[in-house]
Amino acid sequence: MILAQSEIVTVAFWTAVLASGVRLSVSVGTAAIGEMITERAGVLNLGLEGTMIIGAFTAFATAFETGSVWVGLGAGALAGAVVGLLFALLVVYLRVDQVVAGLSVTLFGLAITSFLNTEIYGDSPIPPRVPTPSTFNVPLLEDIPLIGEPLFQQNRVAYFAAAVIVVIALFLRSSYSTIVLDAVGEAPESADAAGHGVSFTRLVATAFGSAMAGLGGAVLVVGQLGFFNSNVTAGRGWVALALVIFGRWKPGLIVAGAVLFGTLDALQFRFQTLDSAIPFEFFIALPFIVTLVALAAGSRGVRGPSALGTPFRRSTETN
Amino acid sequence: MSFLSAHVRNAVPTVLAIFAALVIGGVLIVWAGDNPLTVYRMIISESMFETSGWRDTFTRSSPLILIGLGLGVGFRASVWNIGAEGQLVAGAVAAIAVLGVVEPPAVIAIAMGLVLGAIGGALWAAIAAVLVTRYEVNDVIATLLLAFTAVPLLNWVAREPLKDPESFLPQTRVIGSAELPDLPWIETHIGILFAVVAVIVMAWIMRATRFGFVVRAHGANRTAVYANESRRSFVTFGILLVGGGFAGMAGYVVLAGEQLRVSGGTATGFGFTAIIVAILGRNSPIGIFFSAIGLSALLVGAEAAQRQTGLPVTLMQSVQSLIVVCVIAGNAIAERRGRLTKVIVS
Repeated sequence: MILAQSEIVTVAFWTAVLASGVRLSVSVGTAAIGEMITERAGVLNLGLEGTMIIGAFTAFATAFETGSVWVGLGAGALAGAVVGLLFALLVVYLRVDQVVAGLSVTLFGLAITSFLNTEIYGDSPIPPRVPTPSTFNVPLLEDIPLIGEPLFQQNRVAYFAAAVIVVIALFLRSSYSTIVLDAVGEAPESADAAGHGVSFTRLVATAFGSAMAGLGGAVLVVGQLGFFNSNVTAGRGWVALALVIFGRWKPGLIVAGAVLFGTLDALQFRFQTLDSAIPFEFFIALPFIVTLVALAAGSRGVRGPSALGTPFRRSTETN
Repeated sequence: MSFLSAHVRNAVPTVLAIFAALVIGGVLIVWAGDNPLTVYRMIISESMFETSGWRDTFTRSSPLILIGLGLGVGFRASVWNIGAEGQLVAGAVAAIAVLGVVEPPAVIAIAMGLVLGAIGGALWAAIAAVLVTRYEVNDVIATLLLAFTAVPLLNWVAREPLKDPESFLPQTRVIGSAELPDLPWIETHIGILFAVVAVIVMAWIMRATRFGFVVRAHGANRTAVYANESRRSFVTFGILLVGGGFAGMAGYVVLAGEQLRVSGGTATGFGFTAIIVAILGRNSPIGIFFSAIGLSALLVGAEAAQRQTGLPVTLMQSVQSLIVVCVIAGNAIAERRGRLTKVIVS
C-alpha cells in the first residue's frame, strides 16, 4: 500500500497517526517512568532494555500458558522486579560499576530471552500468538475530533498502563517518600545522617523501576503485538533512558516525550510507504535522529540527580 | 614469591566466577535436554583442536580485539562509547566507497582500507563526540542511538548509492584487491596480525605515553586533573574518535576478511560483543586480547554444537554476559573481604 502525498494533509491521517503514536508510547512511557524513579534514588540502570525484554518474554509465556493477559502483565512486572533486585544487589550492596553491570544485564536479557523463546516455542517464522485485549471506546469522548480516537479508543491494557503512570505521578507529588527518594539521589550523606536507609531506598527504587520496565515490555508484547520474537523491544529500553533525560526526571515531561516519540514512530511506519524521493531507510532512523536532536537541544545545563551513578559508602564504613 | 602468590590470589575469584557462570549455563543445557559435559567438551574440541575452529576463533577475535582496544581506552577514562556497531558500519562503508571503485595493488589497497575504515569510524564517532562535548548529551545514549541510526543507513547505502549494478541483491561491489590474504601457516586472514600489532602498540601507548597517562587520569578523577572545562572536553572528544577509529578499522577487517561486500548483513553485532570483551579484559590491551580469544572460542564452539545438537547459540551468548556479571560480582566480593581482613589484622 502506497501512501499518497495528498493524504498527509488530511485530519483522518493525523488522527490515525496520533492514535498509533499514543499506542506506541505506552510501553516506552511505562519503562521511562520506572527508570525515572530508579534514577531519582541515584541509580542509573542501563539494564533497562534487558529488563524490558525479560518482562516481555515472561509475560508472553505466562499469558500463553494461562490464557490471561492480566496474569501475563503481572508476571512481566514480577520478572522485572526480580531482575531489578539482582541488579541492585550488584550496584547498591557490592558497589559494582553501574554502567558495566547495566550493560551486562541488557546483553544477558537479549540473549537469554532469544534462547528461551527458541527452546520453548521454536523459531518458526510464524510465532505462536496470544489474543490481544479488546479496545474500549469511551462513550462521547471518543468522538472528539483529532484527539478522541488517540485517547479514548485504546485497548484495556493501554488504559491500565496509563492509570499506573498517573497514580505514580500523583503519589510522587504529595508523598513524604518522594522527599526521601530525592534526598537519597541528591545528597545521600544527608539522607543517611537524617536516619534514612540509603541502600534500602535505592534497592526499593531499583526494584520498582525494573518492575515498571518489565511491565512496559509486557504491555508491548501481550497488550499490543500478541507475539514474542528475538529483540522484540528493538531499542525501546534505550529510548526510555533517553526520555528520562529529555523529561528532566519529571513525570509530565517524560510522558509528553513518550507520546512525541511514539508519534514519530507511527509516522515513520507510514512514511516508509510514502511515494516520495526520500529513501524509506531514512524514516526508520528518524525517531532516533529526532531523539538525539531533542537531547542536544535540551541537555545543556540540565543537571540530573547529583549522586546519579555514584555508589554510597558511609565515611565511617570500612567495607 | 609473595608477588606470585598475590597474582594467584587475585585470579582466584575470576576463575571461580567463570566457573560459576559455566555451571549456570550447564543447568540451562540440562534443561534444554542435552548433557552439559558433552556440550562443553564439544565446544573446547571444536574451537581449539580443529583447524576450522582455530581459524574461525582467530577470524572472529580480530575485529573484537580491535574494537575492544578502542572501547577499553574509553571505559578506562569513563567515556562510555557503546555504539561501536555503528562506527564499524561507517568504517566498512567508507572502505567500500573508495575500494569498490579503484583497484590499487594489494599492499596499498590494504593500507588504504585500514585508513579509510578508521576515518569512517572516527567521523561517525565525531557526531557523538560533538553531541557529548558541545551539547552535553549523555555519552551512552548518544553513541548508542547513533548506532541504531547507522544500521538503516547501511541498508540504504547497499540498496541505492553503492549498489553493485550487476547484482539483484542489495549489496555493494566486492572489495577487490583490498581483500585480506591468509597467513601461510594457520590459514586465517592477516586481520589477527593487525590485532596483535594493535595490542602491542596500545599496551605501549597506555603505559609509556602522555596520552596513556591522560586517559588514566581522566577516568580516575574527572574534576581534579583539569584546570578548565575545555581541556576535559578535548580529551573526551579525542577518546571517542580513537574508539570510532578502531571500530571503523574493524569494519574494514570484517569486510575484507570475510564478507567481501557490504550489505545489510555487515552489522553482525561485533560492536556489542566487544563491550563484553573490553570489560572482561579489564580495559587493558593484553586482557582484551585474551578475553576476545576466549569469548570467540566459546561462540565458535557453540556454533559447532548448534550444528551437531541443535542447542541454540544464544545460550552461550547468555553465558558470555553471565561471565561478566559473575566476574564483576566475584571481584567486588573478594575486594570487600580483602578490606575486612585488613581491618581485622590491623
